[in-house]
Formats: sequence, structure tokens, C-alpha cells
Amino acid sequence: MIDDQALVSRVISGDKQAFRLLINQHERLVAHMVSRLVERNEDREELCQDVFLKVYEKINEFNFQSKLSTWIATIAYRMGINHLRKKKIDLSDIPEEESFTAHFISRDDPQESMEDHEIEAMTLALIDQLPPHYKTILTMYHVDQMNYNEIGEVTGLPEGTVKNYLFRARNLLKEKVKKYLGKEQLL
Amino acid sequence: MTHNDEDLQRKFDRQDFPGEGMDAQAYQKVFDALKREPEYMLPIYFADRLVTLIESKEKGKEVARDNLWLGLGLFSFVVALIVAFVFTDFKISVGAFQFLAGYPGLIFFGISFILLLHWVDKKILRKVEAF
Repeated sequence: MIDDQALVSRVISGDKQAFRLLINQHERLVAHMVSRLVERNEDREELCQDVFLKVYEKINEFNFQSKLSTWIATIAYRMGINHLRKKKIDLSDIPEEESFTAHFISRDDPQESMEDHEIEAMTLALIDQLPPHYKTILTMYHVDQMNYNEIGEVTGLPEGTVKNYLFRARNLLKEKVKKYLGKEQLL
Repeated sequence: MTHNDEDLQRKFDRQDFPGEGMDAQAYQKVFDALKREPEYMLPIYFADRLVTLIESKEKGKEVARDNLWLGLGLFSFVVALIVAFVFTDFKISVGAFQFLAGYPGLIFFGISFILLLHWVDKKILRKVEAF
């Protein structure tokens, strides 16, 4: 497999085959991030395209201070957030253990027991209901295997805040899932 | 969030699964779901289409650059022409073509003949070629 430095040099020299390779290597990462931030599939594809166009345009500014994937993820994250701002979608934090948390846990109370796969589907749906920063951080950590430092670099948040977001989001999901499990065990 | 929650999350992060208790079971479900990739995938032709788009953009930029040079060339030519006219006190003269002024019929015939050839080419020859 070609390393980042060689790949970037080839792209800068105008090698389109190398850029095609760069896209193939990073399209899943970009698609994960964009799909967590943007709802409509048409918007997702357009945004992914804009992300890679920006990567192509700015690649001669990449200085190898971070991994290429982290740099590309940073572009995808910023463009995703800008897209949400343009659409006037709320980016607010989870209000500390108050309105959002209470509302999130209490709504859609379980009426009957659920199968395992139903609980998993429900958990995935719950992830989608979290605020954008939380969803993206969860995906970067659990799906794309990024560490706290890399996530901090991508989001511009301190490492401590990244950890806090992860813990809070997982705790929130756990509380909700626990209600369903509780119902399952009672029935 | 309690210390127990923090402890449980750390254990799951280290893949050290604490099987007992409702919290642990719930975290197990959450961590399993979080590992699932989002369903959205880009189309398989995404990279090819993007590279084609970049190539056409670059081609467009090249054409724009060529047009800019052409414009600059024409502008410089006109400026040079004006400067040359001014400095050499050049007077426009039709010179050898002055004799044509005495043959208006010849000019009329020449123009009509060229137009006729164009018409024949367009209406007859090209149609025959098409068959």
C-alpha cells in the first residue's frame, strides 16, 4: 500500500490515478462523517463531492503534521458543520442533565418486549437523534477507530471535552436502552 | 453519570466485558450498536465521476487562460498598430486595388459568384454527401 507522503506527492504532481486512489482509501471515512451530520442522501453525496474537491484544491497545503485521514476528516467535519449552519440546524450541546436528557430518556416509553435485533435497531435510531457533534464523535471513535487526540484535532475540541462528550452520549443511550431491557425482563 | 458508569464504559472500551447487571447489559447493547457502520455508502462510480469533473474543470480553466492570452495579444496588436500609425504618419491606401473602382460589374459578379458557390455547397453538395 502506498504511503501518505508518496500519495500526496503524486496528487500534487497532477496524477489523477493517485487522486482516484486517495478517494477510494478515504471515501468511507468521509461518508461516515457526512452521513452522521446530513440527513438527505442527495445532500450527502453532494457534500462528499465538495469535500474531495476541497481536498484536491488544498492538498499542496497539507504539511504532514497529522495523518492524511485526520486532515481529510477535518475538512469533512468543517464542511458538514457549515452545511448545518447554512440550513439553520441547531448545533447545541446536550443541556446538562436537564431538558434534553430528561426528554430523550422519557419519550417513546416501551409498551412491549423487544427482540435483540429490535433493540439494536432502536439504539441505532437513538444515535441519529443525538446532537450532530455527539453523533460524529461517537462514529469517529467507534467506527473509524480514531483516538481522542485525533478526534480533538478534527473537531477543534480539547481532548477532555471529547472524552466528556463520548461518556455523556453513551450514558444517555444506555439509560434509554435500559428502559427497554427493564421492560423485557419484567415481561 | 456515576463512577459506576465511567468504570463500565472504560471496561467496554478495553473490551473487558462485565457481563453482570442491567447497566452492563444496556452498555453491551449500546457498544454493539455503536460499532455498526452507518448504512449510507457512496456510489461505486463516485471516484471516477469526481476525477472526470476535476478534469473538465481544469480543461475549462485552460480554455479560459488561452482566451485571456488571445485577448491580450489582440489588444497589444491594436495598441501597436495605433502607435505605428501615429509615429509613422501612415495613410491608409487601397493601392493596387484602386483599379477595381472602375469595374463595379466585376465586383458585383465576384460577390454573386462566391455566394452562388456557397449556396450550391450548402443545398446540393452536402445533401449528396449525406446520402
